Amino acid sequence: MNCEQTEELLSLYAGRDLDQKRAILVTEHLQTCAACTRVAGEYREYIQLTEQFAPPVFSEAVYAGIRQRVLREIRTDAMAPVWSQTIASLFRSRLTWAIAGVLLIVVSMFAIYFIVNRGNVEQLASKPPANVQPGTKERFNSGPQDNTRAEFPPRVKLTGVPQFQRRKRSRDTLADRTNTVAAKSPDATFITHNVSPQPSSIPEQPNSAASIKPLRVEIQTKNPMIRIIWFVQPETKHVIPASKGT
Amino acid sequence: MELGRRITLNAAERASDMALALDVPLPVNALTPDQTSLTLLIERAAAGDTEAFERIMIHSQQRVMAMTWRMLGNEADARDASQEVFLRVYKYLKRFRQDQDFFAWLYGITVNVCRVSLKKRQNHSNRFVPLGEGTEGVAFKVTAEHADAESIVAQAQERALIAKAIAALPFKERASIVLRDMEGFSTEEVARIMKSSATTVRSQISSARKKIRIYCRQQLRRAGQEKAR
Repeated sequence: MNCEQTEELLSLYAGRDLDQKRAILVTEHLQTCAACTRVAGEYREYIQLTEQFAPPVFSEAVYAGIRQRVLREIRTDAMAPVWSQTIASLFRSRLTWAIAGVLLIVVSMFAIYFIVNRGNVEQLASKPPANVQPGTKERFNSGPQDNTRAEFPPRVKLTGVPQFQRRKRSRDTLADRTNTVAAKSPDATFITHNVSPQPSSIPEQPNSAASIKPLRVEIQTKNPMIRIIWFVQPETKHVIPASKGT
Repeated sequence: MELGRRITLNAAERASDMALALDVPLPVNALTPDQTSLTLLIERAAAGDTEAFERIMIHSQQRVMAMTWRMLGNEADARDASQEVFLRVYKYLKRFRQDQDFFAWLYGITVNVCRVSLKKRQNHSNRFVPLGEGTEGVAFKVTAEHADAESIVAQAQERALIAKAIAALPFKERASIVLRDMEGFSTEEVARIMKSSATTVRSQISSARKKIRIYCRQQLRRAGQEKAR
């Protein structure tokens, strides 16, 4: 071990912080090197001085003052309400503020989105369809407790269907259906109207089934997003052409 | 003492307990209570017993004050830091595990408080007050063999020099050298207190001692040159 290597270790050697293996090597070098021995002596002296470096003797009054202040603080903290500590701790933490800020922004965005969309839905619900005939929209006002027949929703007024067919249909199917819907959703709106026939390249025959306009039936449920729509094809009388031979 | 709780103490424990109860100032080593009684005090203090906590403070106040003074360099800051240390001890006492060394844990808190205190001081652009500056009578241990006036003056000058050299050290090196050379902890214990490895602490101690030596040599050389003029 040369002087340079030894000098690196002398500060630890002088304070007995070196492991045994290296300490033996340094001791061997010091036995042969006067310069390194002098440096080691200097280190020992400074370490000894450091070890003797004691703080001033503080009076008992100093310690008593510290204790009293600490105990006073502890008692004040113990008496303080818990919510104030919680708020104070929230103010201390930057991370909490950041999280709270992000949450507030997210909630605000959801709220704005919800309000905007709700307005659109209400507009759509209140706006009557373009092909609905005026006067055919009726609203059921009977509540769930009104189960008497007198308060059942009025029958649907069907237009554009022959009288005999209209009666039969309303007795057999529509009346049952409307009664069922009305009982389940008291605020449902029942709308009926004729649907204009789809434009077709095939010329319509006056007596064919296509010439009879289909009936569009709509039920607006309590939920403005749900509207039940179906088309009723009026029954047609099929005429069997007579054979020429008979 | 809690009612209905049977505590059996031996003579030494009783003496220590009595001395603490009577608030008798004892030497640092004498104030160290038996591990059993300290454990009991910690348990009671953690449960909110301020009386027990006051006794823990009496046990440890000299150590804490000495450490903060050595780290911060003046009495006013040391007092404030000690107060903060005890407040933190009370706050985190519930987290203290009984298998830990209480004083190592206490020194860990003290080092952290001193770090915060020094940082605050730097933020307020207040320069560090070197150890011993502005304090009357830094209590170096003067032995009887150095009783003559000249040697006392020489020793005081040397120690003042070392005080300044320590004050000029970076925080970690300063904390390591204070804990190792002044408080007498082993390198492994210092590492545990500083939450570091023994190798790192050894390196910090080595670096600190080299810097102290270089600083002292420079100052002595300068003083010699001034005398020659």
